Amino acid sequence: MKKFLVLLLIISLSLSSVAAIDFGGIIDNTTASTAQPDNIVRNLANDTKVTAWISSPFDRNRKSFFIAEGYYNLNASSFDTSAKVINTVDLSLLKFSIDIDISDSFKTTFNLGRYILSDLTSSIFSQSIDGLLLTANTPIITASLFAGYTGLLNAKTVSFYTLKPTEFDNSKLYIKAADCFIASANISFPSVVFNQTPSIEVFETIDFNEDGYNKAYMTASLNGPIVGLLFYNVSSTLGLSSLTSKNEWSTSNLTKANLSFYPKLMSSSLALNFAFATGGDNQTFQPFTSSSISIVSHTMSNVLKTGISGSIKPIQFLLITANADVLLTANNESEQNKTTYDGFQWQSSISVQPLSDIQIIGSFGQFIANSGNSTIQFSAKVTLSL
Amino acid sequence: MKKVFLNLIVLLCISFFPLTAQSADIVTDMISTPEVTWAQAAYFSASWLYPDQEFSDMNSAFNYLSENKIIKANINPESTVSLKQLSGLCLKTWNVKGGLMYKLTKADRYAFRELKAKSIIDSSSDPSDKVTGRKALEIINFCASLNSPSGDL
Repeated sequence: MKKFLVLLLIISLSLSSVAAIDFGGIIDNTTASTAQPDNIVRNLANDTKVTAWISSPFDRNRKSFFIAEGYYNLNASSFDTSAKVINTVDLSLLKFSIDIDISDSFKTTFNLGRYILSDLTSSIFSQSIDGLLLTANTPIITASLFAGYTGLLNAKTVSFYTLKPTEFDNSKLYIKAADCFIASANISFPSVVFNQTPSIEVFETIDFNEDGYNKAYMTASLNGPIVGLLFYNVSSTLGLSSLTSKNEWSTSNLTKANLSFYPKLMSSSLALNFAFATGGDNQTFQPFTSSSISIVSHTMSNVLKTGISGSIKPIQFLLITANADVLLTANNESEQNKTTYDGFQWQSSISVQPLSDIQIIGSFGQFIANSGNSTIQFSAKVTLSL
Repeated sequence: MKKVFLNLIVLLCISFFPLTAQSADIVTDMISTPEVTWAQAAYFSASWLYPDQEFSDMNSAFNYLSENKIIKANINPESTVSLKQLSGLCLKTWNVKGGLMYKLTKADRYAFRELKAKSIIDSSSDPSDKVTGRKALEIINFCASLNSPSGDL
């Protein structure tokens, strides 16, 4: 793995013009805690992250370039009785990009390496992945094909659902993630009628592990302006999942809708958001990437989340965001198709950038469960770009 | 469209730099320059920093800056200036406030980053990119606009 990455870097540097190489770094420190009010100090954890990046074009017209970014993270939870330190290294980005213009109206892009990929909904697949992405753009159609592999990723920095969970040994800096093959195809028609953009995407994940958990997602989405500064985005996904050993496919659905308004006031925005993920009888919607959508770690699985979010930039170096959401869980297994109120959460953050290379972000949030229990989330982050 | 853009640049130059006949010629030549040289960039910098000095040509302005250690001694006035180097010269000349790393190091690479953050340099630009005359005048005008009162050309 290390030899392979070093070899890729050497090839990249030898192909690039040394004079055009750009590089830099980022140091950030985050102190955060998520716990019930009595334990908020006890659960404080600190992350110190040092990131280095390098980029270089391969030609003068910047039609091809490579960019790489790696980091070291030190996580310490000193207030906990089981105090521990976790060291992590990761190569978060290593991308070779080549633009080939077939004609003035037909342009293609090839991206090879490791980079962040998201599906149409950003809720099913949104993480680093190693693979090849081909994109073709014409004035009326944008199409892309992707094929990738998860087995070289660091399992400490990505989280996705497999039946055989990765064994964690936090004394190791890098733990190889489970072997999965990812493929996707996407077609969209940008602003085809009245500036509306319909898109269709098929996403397939194949688990190479013995008795793996394979999934397929078919998404249709539509987005565009409604009137003036009001925009919408709706999508519906049919999820299919099956164990390798069984030839039975379970069906599920994820529906998302969003209404956004951008008033001409201090770069502000206001949005209404809705997401509902559920399976059929005794079945579950399961995204590939396992990411939290609430303070108390709900995932986009058998859940209904709806709420309001907004942001405002009253002065050049200050950004304020806030959101409030209601969460309901869909209990398909015990009570078919019944949703129950789970709780309410609010979150707010303030980002200050006193100088162009320094950013300070403070955020605070609270989840009030149906039972009345409260969970508080707090974080403070300072970033310096080198 | 092109003519409108060129006229705008000349107007901006006039607004910040009271032009002499000689400097007007230099601005006109600069607009059509595909790759700006150190001597060309130095003329604008020197004219601002030393308004009482008479510079007979661009090379004399370059030499004056070199003697005053604003430009490194080993630089050839006829060599092309990179985006990073022009950023460094402009931030020094017009005393533009930079980020923490620029304040600490005064390095050209952080000057380049500052102008990227201020959106006067395109986010996809490389620090080693050569600079067209038109782009150089845009950057010079932007930096001069952050530092008034203006000097003379």
